[in-house]
Amino acid sequence: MSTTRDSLQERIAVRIPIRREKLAPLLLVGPALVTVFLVTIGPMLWSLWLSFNRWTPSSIAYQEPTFNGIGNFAWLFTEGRFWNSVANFAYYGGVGVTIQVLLGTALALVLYNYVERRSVRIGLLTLFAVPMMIAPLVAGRIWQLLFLPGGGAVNGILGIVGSGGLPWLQSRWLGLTSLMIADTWQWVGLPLLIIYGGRASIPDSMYEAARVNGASRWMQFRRITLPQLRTLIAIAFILRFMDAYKFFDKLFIMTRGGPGTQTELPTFYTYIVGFSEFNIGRAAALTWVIGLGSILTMLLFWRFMDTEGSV
Amino acid sequence: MSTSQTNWFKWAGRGLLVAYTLFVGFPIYWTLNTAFKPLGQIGTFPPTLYPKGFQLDAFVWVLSNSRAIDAILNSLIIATGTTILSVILGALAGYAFSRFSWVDPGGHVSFWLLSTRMFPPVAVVLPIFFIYGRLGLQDTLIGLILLYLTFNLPLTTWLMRDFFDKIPTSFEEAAFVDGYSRFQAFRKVIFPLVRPGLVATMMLAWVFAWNEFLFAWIITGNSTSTYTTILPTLIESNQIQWNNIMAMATVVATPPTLILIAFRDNIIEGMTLGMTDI
Repeated sequence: MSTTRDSLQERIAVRIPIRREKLAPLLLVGPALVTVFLVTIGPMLWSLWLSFNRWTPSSIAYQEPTFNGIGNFAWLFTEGRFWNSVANFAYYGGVGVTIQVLLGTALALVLYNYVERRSVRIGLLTLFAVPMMIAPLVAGRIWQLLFLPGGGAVNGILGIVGSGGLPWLQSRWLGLTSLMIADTWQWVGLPLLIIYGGRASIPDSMYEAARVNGASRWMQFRRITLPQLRTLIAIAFILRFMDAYKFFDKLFIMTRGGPGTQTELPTFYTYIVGFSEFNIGRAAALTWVIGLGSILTMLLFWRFMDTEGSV
Repeated sequence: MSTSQTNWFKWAGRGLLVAYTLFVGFPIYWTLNTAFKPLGQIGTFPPTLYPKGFQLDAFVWVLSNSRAIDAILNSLIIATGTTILSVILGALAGYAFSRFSWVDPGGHVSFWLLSTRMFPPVAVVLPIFFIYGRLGLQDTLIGLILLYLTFNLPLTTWLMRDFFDKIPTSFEEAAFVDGYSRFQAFRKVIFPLVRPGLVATMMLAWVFAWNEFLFAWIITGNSTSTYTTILPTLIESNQIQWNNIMAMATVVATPPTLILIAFRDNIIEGMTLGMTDI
């Protein structure tokens, strides 16, 4: 191949092979797609098939899966323990995720607008990202220690202030709230970083133009900041909701679903049905209900954003 | 709007920021505080706010406990193995998605790949448990290394596509004009530019694998237990050895924290799936 740079024909001649590159990209993408199929899609399709079967493979009397139609799903919708986990999810997801996203948004805007020194801003952003880097299980362990009913730091501080302290992990709503606090500690950083990045990318000229036209701070917030950040706020909601559907590690270590089964969330309940009761068909049905719920949530948020954005 | 009102808002905002900073900082402080305390000062009222008689016994316990050491080593092997695999596969696919738009029309294929992360992990591990039973992959390091690709490969592909997208195609075109082949252009022009993003992607994939619990809890047995799977059972003794547990927490949380500090900008970009560029 010639390396002369002068001739136009030669430039074109060099560029032609790019269009012929059809095989190379497939070879590049292929291994990744095949891997995802083998470790994720394939097993999940098998689990979809299992969800229409009765299969309780105990080590004592092994039996093959037997088809039982929508029996697992029918069971699910009459099972009180499942609805208990759904109600917990509604509280945990509805209240917890909303607090996390609103708090993250407020902190991001304060950090951007009211902290002048860049080094302080970067330092705080890094500190707020630290909990996200710690294993959720370890975070759960730390909060378990903080929430100890007698001698835990949280009740210790409440005691110094003069309050009696609370039985943090010992009841349904307080248990869920404890999980929520621990999860907020770990994950507010995510909406915060997303919104901070979004706010930093709004050009100052938009605000200057608004000020020249006499817009108040509130109007600037209402007409510039909020519309510009709407998509990112929705994305933050979606990401946190996806994680709420998956919520497992902290629950496992902090309450184990207890007292009794009162603080169970859907993924944890699936784990119990699958790996403690070994009722695999039912557990598979549960995973698909949770998965579809999580996809539905995402679609709802996108739709909400579309209709809002078109106004 | 009057200045006094703006000032009030500013100071309320800063107050919130200070309160939140304390909220984030306190558990980190308390972890260290507990790890350096003698057991007798834990769970007292009023709480001991700093270790009286600073001691390293808990850390000595962690670093001389063969179960803890083995588990940390297993975590290290698994996280490193899965990182290497997922970054190689993800970088190749990410490059193709970024540079050959027909492989990824409208970004749908790469988004579909990312969306497999949205399904709850328990949906994957339930069938995998039985498949691994048949294949003899339960309680093996390689089994967990492969399983961790379910969440790491979509992540590395997505992030690498994002990092490649940031390099203008005109850079490569200039290289082609200079007579470079696509491979030469990649090696001499694109790779040096994408290297910081590649390193951050590796670090993130490593941290996610290092921190994983559910898959490890279900797939591993005694010989391959990771540090996350031994943490729940460290409680089993007459009196909970909170100082040992918190020393362990400190040890295992140190690598991810150092990674965050060392590769701050790119890690933050990666944590937010490429949305935030500070």
